[in-house]
Amino acid sequence: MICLGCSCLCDDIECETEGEEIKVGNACLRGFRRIDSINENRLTPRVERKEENIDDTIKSAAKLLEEAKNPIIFGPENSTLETEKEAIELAKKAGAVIDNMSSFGYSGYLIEKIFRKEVDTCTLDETRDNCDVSIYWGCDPMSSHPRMMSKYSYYPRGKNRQRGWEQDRDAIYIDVRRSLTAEICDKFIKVPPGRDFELMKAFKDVLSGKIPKFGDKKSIMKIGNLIKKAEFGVLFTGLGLNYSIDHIDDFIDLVKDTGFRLQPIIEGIGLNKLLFDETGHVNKINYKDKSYGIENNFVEALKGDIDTALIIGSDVASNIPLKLAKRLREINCIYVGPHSNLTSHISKVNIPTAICGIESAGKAYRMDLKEEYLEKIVDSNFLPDQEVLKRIGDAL
Amino acid sequence: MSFAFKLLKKEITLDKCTPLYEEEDYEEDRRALEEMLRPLMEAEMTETGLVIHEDLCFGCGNCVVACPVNVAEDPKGCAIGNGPTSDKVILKVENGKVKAANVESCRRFGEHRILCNACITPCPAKAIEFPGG
Amino acid sequence: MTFDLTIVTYEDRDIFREEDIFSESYIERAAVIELDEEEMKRYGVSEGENILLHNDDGEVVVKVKRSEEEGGGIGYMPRSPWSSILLSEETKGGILGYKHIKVNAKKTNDPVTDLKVLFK
Repeated sequence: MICLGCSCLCDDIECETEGEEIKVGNACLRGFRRIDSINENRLTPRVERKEENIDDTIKSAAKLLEEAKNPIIFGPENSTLETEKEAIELAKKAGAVIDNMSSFGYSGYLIEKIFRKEVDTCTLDETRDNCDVSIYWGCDPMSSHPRMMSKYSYYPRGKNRQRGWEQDRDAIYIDVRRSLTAEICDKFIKVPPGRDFELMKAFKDVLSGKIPKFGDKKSIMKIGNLIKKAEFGVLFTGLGLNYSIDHIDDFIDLVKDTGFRLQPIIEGIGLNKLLFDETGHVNKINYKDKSYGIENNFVEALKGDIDTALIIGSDVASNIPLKLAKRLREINCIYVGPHSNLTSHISKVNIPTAICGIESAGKAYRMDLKEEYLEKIVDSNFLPDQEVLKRIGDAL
Repeated sequence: MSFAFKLLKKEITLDKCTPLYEEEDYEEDRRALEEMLRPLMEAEMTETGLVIHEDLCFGCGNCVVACPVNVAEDPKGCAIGNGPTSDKVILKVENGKVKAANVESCRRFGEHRILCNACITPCPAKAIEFPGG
Repeated sequence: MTFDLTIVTYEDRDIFREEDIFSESYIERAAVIELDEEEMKRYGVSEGENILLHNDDGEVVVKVKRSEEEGGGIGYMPRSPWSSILLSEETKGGILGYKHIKVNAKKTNDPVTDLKVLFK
């Protein structure tokens, strides 16, 4: 089976069920916990504080969206293309803003540049077969995507890297904290918070043969030379690459100077691709007038005049300032997802769904846009999330 | 020294050192030793001394792909980053944690043993060790 | 205004999306701050004791965990409802300051912030 625990979409998972017990082979703990959570902390259907049947919750959600003056749809995170398509259709029907986690950092912007072919990228399979130097800047794949380095970017042997991590690959880690990924990389540059731009300047200096003026000069020069000599370099980025870089375009220029390929480690790229194909932008779209803008970023919109929110499979309330999480509670918030969390707790309407790729089937994109088909493994009474969104749309 | 090695190999238990348990003067030392040895005693240890700390492991698979025996036995699986396709591998991930099998094939043991660290170095959580040496 | 501490949030590999956020087990792992020996001495806290973190955006009580890494005025918190309480609404192009939260800190005997009470 294929695991949808993160955007690695590992395709070598073995799953056996013996009554209530599940035995999962090859999935990391994140993936296993997701599969094993079939009977854990499942969302129950309710409207306000009252438990309702699923049809009534869908009707209530549709009513709230219909009456909304300024609705927003947020998410999904680990879900299928079918769900993402239905989310866009619903945004069109309801005249809603649609956005996802990619606008919470620079990932969305970088992905858009990649889709526009303004920055080079490559697939994870190409990384495994060719990458000799990988840089992890502002991300911690060992914690968020545990198998990425063992399956693709560092440990395995590849077509043109037959000696794998031992002799054919180098891994460089750049971040504000000594994370799990830092523990296993060959080189680690710890950057003080907010000073990534100084490190960028130092790398630019080394690449043009100058002495860097930041950090441990010898170490930075060694790394700069590794980068210069790389035959197929890949640069992975994450949420850590935010706030400390005022001008993300300077970062993109540096990436181009190095000749490395960029791979933002991102969830929910399916929605980004669908939105891009339709509108030329990966997120922050208002389907009332098909406009794009910063005011459609979920956080900014919540500070504005949003009166209704439909949140799909994302515990966004845990990741926004308290004032805004409380604002979510005050407005008409609908949560659609398999498990309960802070967002579902503060939402007026809860609609439980099946866990994609386990209780329901569908297509999904890996972080590099490789499309996979996920089968249903276990029978369930929960509706797939795409079905819930479709029914809400039909009821509008 | 040999008592310590036997303890680490789980051939004897700490209570065999009777003065530690019978004499009041050694109470603090006994407590400290029990605390120190607790992870070892609780960890899953194979006959050949490989210890996996299940509470630290999160199934990243770095060791599965790095182990030279895994790679040699499974060129179409572990060697290229995938889960094992052979029964002869030493390390594989089950239910999100790494499990050991066929440990007698490990290069640290047997007549031509070498000090291989291929599973220890890639572990970000320090979940694999050979405490006996 | 001067601040004692900068908080950097991170994704913790031991915290899962499917979990019940009100369970003791989740709170044990998510409502924490990692401080190095020096920072712990500064505030007079030991591992396992509680610390109050506050700024203009909010205040939260979490448990202290010892960090082996040198902090240098930085404390690390897993990205969770507790760390988000301290986030500012100010954004840079819509981006929140997850890696750069300035707070003041004080040892406290108060219990860890109860989310149910906060979101009553």
